[in-house]
Amino acid sequence: MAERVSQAVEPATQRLGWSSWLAERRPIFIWWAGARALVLGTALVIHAIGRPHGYYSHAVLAKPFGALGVWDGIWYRRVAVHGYLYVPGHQSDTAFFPLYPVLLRIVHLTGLPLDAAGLLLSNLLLLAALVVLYELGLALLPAADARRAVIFAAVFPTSYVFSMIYPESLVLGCMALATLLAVRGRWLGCSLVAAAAALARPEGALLVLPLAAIAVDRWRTLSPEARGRAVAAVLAAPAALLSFMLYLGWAVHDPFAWNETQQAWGRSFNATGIFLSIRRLFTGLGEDHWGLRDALFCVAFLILLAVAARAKIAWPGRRWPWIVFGLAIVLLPLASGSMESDARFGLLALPIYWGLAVAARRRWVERGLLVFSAVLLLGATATIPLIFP
Amino acid sequence: MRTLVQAAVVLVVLVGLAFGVQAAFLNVPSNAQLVAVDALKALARYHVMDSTEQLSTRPRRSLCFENRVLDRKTDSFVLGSFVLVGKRQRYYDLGHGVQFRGAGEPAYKVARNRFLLAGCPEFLAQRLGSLLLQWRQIRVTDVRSDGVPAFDIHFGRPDLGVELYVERPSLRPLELALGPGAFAPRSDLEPTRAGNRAELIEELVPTALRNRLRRG
Repeated sequence: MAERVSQAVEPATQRLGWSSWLAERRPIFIWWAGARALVLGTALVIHAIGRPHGYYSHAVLAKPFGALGVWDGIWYRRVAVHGYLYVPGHQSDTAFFPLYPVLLRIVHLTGLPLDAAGLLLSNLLLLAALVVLYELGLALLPAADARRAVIFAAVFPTSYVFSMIYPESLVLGCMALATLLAVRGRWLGCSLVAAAAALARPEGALLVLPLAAIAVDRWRTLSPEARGRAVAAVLAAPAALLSFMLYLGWAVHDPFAWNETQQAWGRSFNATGIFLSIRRLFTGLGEDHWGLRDALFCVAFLILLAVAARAKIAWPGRRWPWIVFGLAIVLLPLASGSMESDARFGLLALPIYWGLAVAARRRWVERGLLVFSAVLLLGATATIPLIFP
Repeated sequence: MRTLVQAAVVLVVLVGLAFGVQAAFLNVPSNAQLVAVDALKALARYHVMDSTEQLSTRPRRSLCFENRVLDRKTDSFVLGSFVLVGKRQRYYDLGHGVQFRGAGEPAYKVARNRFLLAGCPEFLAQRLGSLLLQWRQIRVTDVRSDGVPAFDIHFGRPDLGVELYVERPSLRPLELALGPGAFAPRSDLEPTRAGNRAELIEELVPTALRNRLRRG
């Protein structure tokens, strides 16, 4: 009798669990769908009216979502189809990390065209990333703040990149999931996901900072085996970078092909790079307005990181490794002597979303910022053919 | 100790897994592509090229010298390729198209072909590298050129493109042809690493550009 009761009750409880889980996350689904509709819709309008075509021919924009497959998207597809080829002194495809093209290729193997595979992958990975970012946020902030952070991530002005054939949504999800698994003490899973983040973009390697902070914080409570797994999780992202170097050594006979091609892409890092990027911004004023866009976003990211640093957030581990992690994502690219694309790179600095959530606790601020973000998102998407993100 | 062993095992497995995923799902360059890349690397090591072009009925000797030149617009150094054809025709390129200095300016197509056939090493390596990255398809054939074993490397479209002949196995450039077939304009190449720099500058570089050359 008792057994019959439990059989009847359990599925109902499970259903209730799932439905309440979904209900709690409904705003995330709604905002993801709304923001993506805005981005995809704008791409459709560009296709329909054939402008702005910017650097691309009408043939590129003749595809319905052609605008979302341009710039680096062309290179990621090229790696997915041909693999790597490194020609010294040239803008070679070894500048692009391998995990996203691997996933593109896997989805493409199902018979889906490569462009469609990329769009599907990026947009679905974004949804997963937002859900994971919410779960991570719940460990740090009140539920309302965690939800607000995710909504801002969905409509952030440069979040159109998450819908392009770019690996940003994959890396955002991996970064959030790696830190969430570390918070929950699941170190093996954390190792795997941190390695995936670093195989998708170099910023993934910076996960060392928050993961080390969490591992040090929990060290005394861990068994020797768990400590070993925690150390592995901290070093997993650099290990993945090592595997990429080994792969390049094997495939193109040059383990440093990624680093060496950076110069051809205008990204050679040096000690005075940050000062040079600031100088170039001022000397370029009046000629290159797009540089100003990246500079403004860089300043906005720094402000948001400052807000996050001052806010009452239950940082897993300590506060400063997280803030330094965010600062490194925003500021390290400037060491290449250019601010180009910083508006995109900063999207991966997780604490900025928590800074935004805290700053927009007042209802009118939240609404104002959401409307402002959505308008900027629309405008930024419309400019994709004119300037690389 | 147990901690370190555990960490090392996990990390080795991770590196192996990550390498395996890349190796399993990404194509690797063909041997022909790798030979072409190595040939371009070998070509770019030279700074001076002696060549004998066969563009018209009479073969002409040409000499190319390459050096970095200050681009005043961007405040950075760019590749400068300077060519002397015969005794009087001077050409140069700073990345904005071939310029001619001298009497009796030829048609642009002739000037461009003459400049290309001079075989300026880095200029050529850049052009051929772009063709390789763009077209990917590359054809490498074992041949004999001037009596020595060589690779004939075809860059670009099969019906057009450029053919570079390099010695086997040193990959020293031997010959350049602007297209397939026996009647394509071609030149014999004789690269050298060193040369009398001051003499080369005096002979090849326009006076107005001499103070913009990078030293060393």
